[in-house]
Amino acid sequence: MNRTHQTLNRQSVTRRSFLSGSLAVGAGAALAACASGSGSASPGGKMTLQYWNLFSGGDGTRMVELVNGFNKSQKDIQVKATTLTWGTPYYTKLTTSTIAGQAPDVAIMHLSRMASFAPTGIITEIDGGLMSKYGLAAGQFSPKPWQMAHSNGQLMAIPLDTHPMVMYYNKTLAQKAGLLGPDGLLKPITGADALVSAFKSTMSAGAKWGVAIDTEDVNPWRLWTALYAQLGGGAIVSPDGKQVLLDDSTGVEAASFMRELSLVAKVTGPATDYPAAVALFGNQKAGFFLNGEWEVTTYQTDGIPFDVTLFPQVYGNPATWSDSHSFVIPHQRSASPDRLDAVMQFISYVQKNAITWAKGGHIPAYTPVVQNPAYQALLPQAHYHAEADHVVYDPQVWYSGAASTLETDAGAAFQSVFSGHLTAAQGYAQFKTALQQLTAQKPPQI
Amino acid sequence: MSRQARIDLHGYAFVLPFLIVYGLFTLWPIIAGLRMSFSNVSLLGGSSPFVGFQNYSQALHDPAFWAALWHSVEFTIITTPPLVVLGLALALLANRALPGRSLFRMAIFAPFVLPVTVVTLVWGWLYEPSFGLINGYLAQLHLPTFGWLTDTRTAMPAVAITTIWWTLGFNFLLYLAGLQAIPREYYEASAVDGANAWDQLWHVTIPLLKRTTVIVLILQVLASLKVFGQIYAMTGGGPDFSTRSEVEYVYEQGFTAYHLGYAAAMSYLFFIVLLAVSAFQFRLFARRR
Repeated sequence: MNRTHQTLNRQSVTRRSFLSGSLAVGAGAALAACASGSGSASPGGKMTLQYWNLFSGGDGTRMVELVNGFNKSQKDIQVKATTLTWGTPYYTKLTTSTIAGQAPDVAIMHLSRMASFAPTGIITEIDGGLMSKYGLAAGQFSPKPWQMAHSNGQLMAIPLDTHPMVMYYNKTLAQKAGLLGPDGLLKPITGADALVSAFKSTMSAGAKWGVAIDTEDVNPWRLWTALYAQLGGGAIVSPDGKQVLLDDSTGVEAASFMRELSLVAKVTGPATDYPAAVALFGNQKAGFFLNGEWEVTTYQTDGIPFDVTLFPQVYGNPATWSDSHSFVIPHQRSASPDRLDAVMQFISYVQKNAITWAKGGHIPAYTPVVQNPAYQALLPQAHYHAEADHVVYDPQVWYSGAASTLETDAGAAFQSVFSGHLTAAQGYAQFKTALQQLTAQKPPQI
Repeated sequence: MSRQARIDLHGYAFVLPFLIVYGLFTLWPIIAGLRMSFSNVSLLGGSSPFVGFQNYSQALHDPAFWAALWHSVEFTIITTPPLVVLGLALALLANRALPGRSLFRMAIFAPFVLPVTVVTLVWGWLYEPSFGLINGYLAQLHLPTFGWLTDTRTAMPAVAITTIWWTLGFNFLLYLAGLQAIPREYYEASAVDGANAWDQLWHVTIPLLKRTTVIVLILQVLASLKVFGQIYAMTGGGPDFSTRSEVEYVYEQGFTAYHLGYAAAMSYLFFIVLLAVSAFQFRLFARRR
């Protein structure tokens, strides 16, 4: 008994000391990792900036080029870019990380979310003096994004671009369908009937669908907004967001056109998600594609014969949906002037080199680039940058904007119109009810 | 210190790390969440006064809350029977001395080790209406195709099929272990008494698997009621919110719309539902003879 006890003791002492030893090593390693993981200076004196964006489309490659270009252009600052999924997850992460004190140094925000973010303290005011230090001035930005970048008279974001909804078309299919003019560009198509028959003619020319449309998530909302504006609809809520100003017959008519596309004329699939819509046009199975201009790089890489033109004028007023990206500086627990300086240096670089960003399809907000002849000559961008004059943004209220509750609720209602689950009138009614509920809610407590 | 006291001390020392983590990440959040549910605190951090049962009554009057609860229940109803029955069926098959039996067992269990993102990514492409594999085969066989994840009639069944493929392995494993614990003598004795395979299954196997079935059912029902990941990733709660589960609605209200207090209240109402279901199951099954 004694001997067994002794043997056991020796064994358990060995095991125990091994375990406690490895625990000590593990704790030490964990502490060391915690200390170095705070994202500050790395060896060699370089400052590493954390930059979050949501560019998961074709434009993402252009942003990677810009970040790499900035990192190569100087040796004191290293920008580490993280691309997160577009949508509610991005904004949730941005919010929760800022509250937890783990915010990135600089992030992208849609200007349509200004009303929901500016009062919360999640984003901080931009220092105009710091901007001019790196050559950025107030008068150098397009007026509409510049105005939207302000809240209560304070500048809260630096606009990067405007990205409207446009119309891509396949040149080969359009040629076969007789839709191209003598200059090889699409002949102007005006009116609902002309548009539908143009879509149909590409189907006769061999396309599976006349037009590819993402009928899921928030894209139906964008299309409805564009059609509503083209019908002369006007603002859908009051500026304080508390009153619904919808015109019912206009709203139903806009929804009816969407139903006509998918279920009556059958020129688009009743249920197509975003990757499928991108792939349909990319595989030349669709004659047209109604989407934002951010997939230009994707199709250039694919090498398909395509061009881009303005969003079709279905009704009286030329209008299309748009939004703008901007740089914001999230609130940090301990603000560092050095880091802010480095962030502004990075932002200034991106703005000055925005022609690379424009190659991703977007229309830069920095006017010196827009006025540059190199940008003016860029194709297919030159065929649609006039769009920036006719754009309609989401209502600037706290429950609205990119990936907001408004967009999600509207998208769900109009997705059902496309699929036939709801009639146009029912889908519009569901949207209106959801909007009324949002206007009655109080904004979240800050 | 007495010998018993020292043994007890060692026991507590071993359990202490788990207790600390459990206390920090399960017990404390339960208490903090309850406090949250009685206020209108938001994710943005502002404080809020005590508002009593306002959030609870708002939830009970919220049609989206009831719809989401129904979707969780609906999901449980359509996934639990197949997961239990197929789990047993496959375990019965895999229990035989077939060549390649370990390959067969691994193939059934392999999906279970995949993370939810991988499973939903793969099945999302399978379900793709225009060029997914499933619709492709259906079209070749001249059968009707469906918008699996985009049609309100097929979205929930589609997610259910994915879930069954993904998690069947777990029940299969439990049943396999249970089967192997049944002594061979019972089958031999019943064969002597003139039982055929069906009689053996019904009168020997299934009664002796009762404990396993109880465990499988309780775990399965609770896990199905708490469904979130695959619905969130495959349909986002759509189309038109027809698949949004209770947990997903709580997440949306709390983290997307920032109404933490309201989300907390809904989660406690759901907690009560889960407690009731578990209590009912225990009552039903755990009667000591």
